[in-house]
Amino acid sequence: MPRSRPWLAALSVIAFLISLTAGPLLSDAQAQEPVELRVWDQFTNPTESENAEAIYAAFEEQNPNVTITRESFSTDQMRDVVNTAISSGTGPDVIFYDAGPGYAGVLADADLLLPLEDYASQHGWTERVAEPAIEATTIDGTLYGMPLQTDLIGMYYNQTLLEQEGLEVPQTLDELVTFCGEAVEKGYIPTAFADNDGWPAFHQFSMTANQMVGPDGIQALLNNEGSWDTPEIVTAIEAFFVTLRDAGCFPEDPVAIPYEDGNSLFYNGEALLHTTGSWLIAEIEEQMPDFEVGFVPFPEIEGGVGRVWISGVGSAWYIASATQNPDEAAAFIDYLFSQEAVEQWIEGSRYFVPVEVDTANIEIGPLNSQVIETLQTAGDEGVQFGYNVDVLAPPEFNEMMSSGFQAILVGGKTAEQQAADLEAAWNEGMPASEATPSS
Amino acid sequence: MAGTTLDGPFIAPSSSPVARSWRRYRAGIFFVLPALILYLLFMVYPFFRSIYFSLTSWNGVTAVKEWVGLANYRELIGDRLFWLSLQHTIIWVIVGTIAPIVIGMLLAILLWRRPKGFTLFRTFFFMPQVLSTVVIGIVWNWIYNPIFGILNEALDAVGLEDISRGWLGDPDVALYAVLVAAIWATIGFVFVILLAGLQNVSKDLLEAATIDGANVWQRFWNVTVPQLAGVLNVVIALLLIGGFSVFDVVFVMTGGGPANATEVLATYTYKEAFTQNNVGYASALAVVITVISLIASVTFIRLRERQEA
Amino acid sequence: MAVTSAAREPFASTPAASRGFNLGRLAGRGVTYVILIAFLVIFLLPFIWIWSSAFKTSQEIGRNPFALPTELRWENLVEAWTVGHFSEYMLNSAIYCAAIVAGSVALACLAGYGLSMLPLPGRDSVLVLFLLGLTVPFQSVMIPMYYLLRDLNILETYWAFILPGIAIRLPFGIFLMRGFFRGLPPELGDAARTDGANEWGVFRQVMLPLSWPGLATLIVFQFMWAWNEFAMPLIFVQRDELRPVSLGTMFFFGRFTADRGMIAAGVTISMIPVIILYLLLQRRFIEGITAGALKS
Repeated sequence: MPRSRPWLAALSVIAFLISLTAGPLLSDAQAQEPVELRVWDQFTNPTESENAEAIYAAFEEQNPNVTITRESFSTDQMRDVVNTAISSGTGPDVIFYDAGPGYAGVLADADLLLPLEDYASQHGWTERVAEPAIEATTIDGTLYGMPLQTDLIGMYYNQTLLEQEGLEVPQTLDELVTFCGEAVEKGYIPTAFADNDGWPAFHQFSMTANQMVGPDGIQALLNNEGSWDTPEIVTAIEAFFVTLRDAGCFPEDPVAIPYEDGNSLFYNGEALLHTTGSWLIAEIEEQMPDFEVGFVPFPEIEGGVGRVWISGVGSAWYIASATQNPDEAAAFIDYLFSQEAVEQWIEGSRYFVPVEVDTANIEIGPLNSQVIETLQTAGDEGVQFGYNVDVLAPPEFNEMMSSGFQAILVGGKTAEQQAADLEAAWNEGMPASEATPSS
Repeated sequence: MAGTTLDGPFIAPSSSPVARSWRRYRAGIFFVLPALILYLLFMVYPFFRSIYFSLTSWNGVTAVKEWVGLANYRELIGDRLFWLSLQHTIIWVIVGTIAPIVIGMLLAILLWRRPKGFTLFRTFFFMPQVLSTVVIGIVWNWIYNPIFGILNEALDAVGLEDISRGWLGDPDVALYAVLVAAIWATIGFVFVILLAGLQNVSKDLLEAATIDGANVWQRFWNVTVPQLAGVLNVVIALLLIGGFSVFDVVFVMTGGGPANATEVLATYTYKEAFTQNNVGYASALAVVITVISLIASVTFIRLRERQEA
Repeated sequence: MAVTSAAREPFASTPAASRGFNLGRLAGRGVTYVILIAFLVIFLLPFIWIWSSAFKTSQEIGRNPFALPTELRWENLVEAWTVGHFSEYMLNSAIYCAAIVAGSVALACLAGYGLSMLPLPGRDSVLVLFLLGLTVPFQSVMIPMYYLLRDLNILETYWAFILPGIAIRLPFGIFLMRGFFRGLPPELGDAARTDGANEWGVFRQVMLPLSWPGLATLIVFQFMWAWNEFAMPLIFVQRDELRPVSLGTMFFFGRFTADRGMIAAGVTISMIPVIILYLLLQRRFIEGITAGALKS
């Protein structure tokens, strides 16, 4: 999402103070009643998982009457079961789930999520969290979620290995194609792109599409103006899914390899590049202590507007409308956005929480500071971020991205067909979920 | 019928016909009623509710279920994904029925005469059958893994690198790759049943055929198979019903992907009902599955009757 | 059960055996064993691979899948057991199995008896109603079943899987038990009746003791189904502490995708109990399955 300066400038000291006092007050009032909060999240890798547990535990300590029962799911499995769980009325009270009409939007449409307006004003959430991020979790004018992650999507490169092999970080698509040939010759997998899960392709498409029609063009498309079935979009699809495939940039059979296995290829130095998001930084730092890793926007495609970072809200916290304990659930979310917890999210999980914090006493690595600095350029003259399409698109469109890009990768579909199908899927999905929020 | 023999001595003449039939039937009712109640509530009632849901546009939440008549069915006809999953389901039923029978039959015949090691072979051939589909799915997911899976390693080791690929990622082979896992797990079941059936095949007839100069194949096809017809029918019926509603192994291994290459009717129904909240539309899909599997079962029974007549 | 008892007899006097030794026969036997052993490898290798992987690190698994573990690392298994909640899942599976097997066997036994031995108005229609259930796949009923269970407010209890589990297994059970009881001569009960026993007494004292072979078959069948069933708990069981092993294993797999040693350990743990049970009772299993299938 294009970000505006105000949220960074306005340090919400007041909200912070309120959160400090409101927390204890709230729990005092209800201290007698023991309450169980069931929390579903997506923190499956060990680093993030442990950090989340620690943050939850700290909340429990401050609110002795609340017990957190945590369950974590892979993104894929969460999408499979979250609906049945929430509509059963016996599932989780609080979920950490993907924002956007294709994910949380489906739940909100079915009245399965609790509108958070009242709690937001009670706890001062909207002052604390950056406005563009809040907009991404606002559905049809109602706030449903509290965004925890702002993602930056680009291309990681293994600087150590590039230097060792005398390779340069590719700046344009043509250079990338040449790079792939050289990398293969030297026995490396050029990029760790793995698309068995279907969704990694969303981000690749966001990167190339934002370059071809420009972030403004994407915003127009998201606002239901214009068509996805244009030569520019076809070029965007071809640039990644056809050109790079034919140049041998991907591991063999990318459609057969799960995202996690692709990550491993990059971690252990078999692959030199990885086009994915900033959510991987914690794992990269953990798994690649001996490598220097850099992060840049996707190489420039000819005929486009030039290189852009893709940014978007990843996942956010939601409360199930069926919960028995909405107040405690809200208090829990409030804690997750307290100064103390935010620092811990940044330090332990390397998340980019859209909340103003003083990073002076937080220990962060070079990749982290780079991302934070990049995100902070939001609103600067001439700086524009691209849109991460999937968190803003209806489920039908995401479904078509998932299956269609896989089909292209294996040679079962052309870019032209896919562009036409995307347009059809968009029109099918839009009437139900209305126009997408955007800034 | 066995029941009629109970009419006699212990039913006393009684005053009213109602009381008389109550006394006559109360034992039967007492025995059958508990099962019937549970069955009516959890099977029959949901069955008819499915049909009702399929005529609405319900999303699973609203109190009112808007009646849309046959709109869901009309939408089905134009739904590419429906036809695709139907096609995959039919492939599944055909291959998933024939392959286990052919292989199970081979193994049963090889073990028919109980060679040394009979129990060992039988025990391990049957073993996959006791595992849950989740375990089978995960194990085969690993076998097919393009990075560390043993299938590609084995193919490379014997010089067949050209065949090795990302099995579950290639839409042309993914469905068959999942099928192989399912077949691997089913062979044991088919095998033990055919083995049991073989015990009733007349050895005299086989011997007579041998003396008449029939070769192995002729003996198998003309003597053994006809005598196994009853058992084969059972196996085919079970595999057919299981095939039309296949869900678990596909859901665990591929979830219908890549690019819908392994989408079958049941996984598609699940997605529509439980991840997209299109309960009405999903119910229409469920009704279609029911009708198809009923038609297949009835046709099969008819064919069998005609054959026997 | 005639089929399976015949299976136990050794085959001494087959025509081929009496013809004695010759070269062709020897070659034939060689081919037979080559095929049998090839299949043995196909059926066993995946198990051995997974089990040995449970002792390896993720890197080792990637390096050479066929190599045996360099040392017996128990950490994966220990950790998978602790973080994977497998003890809870096993207990849950045991509860589900016990309840579904007991419930479906008892109800099917009663109804099978009633429908074969006792007078009942509309008996044939009731029977047909039950038998139709054999051809109706789970998808036909799963959607309304979910909303029914939700409205009954039992989605957060063990009943959410137990009740529909019993119901969906009734057609098979009734069919099997009815077939079994029909094979018993009805006159058996008459002696007891003349002694003044009521129908329950006749069933309890005369018929039930005779039906053990049928019951044993049914128990094996229902146990295997209940232990392995996946779709029903997937949709109906939303709480981790209520999940059976099959479902728990799937979520475990999703959670640790990248940690191969951990996955192997989790899968190993989840299959070990049922494999041990099977190896101990393999004849029962196989005979139960055979008899059950052939009777239906």
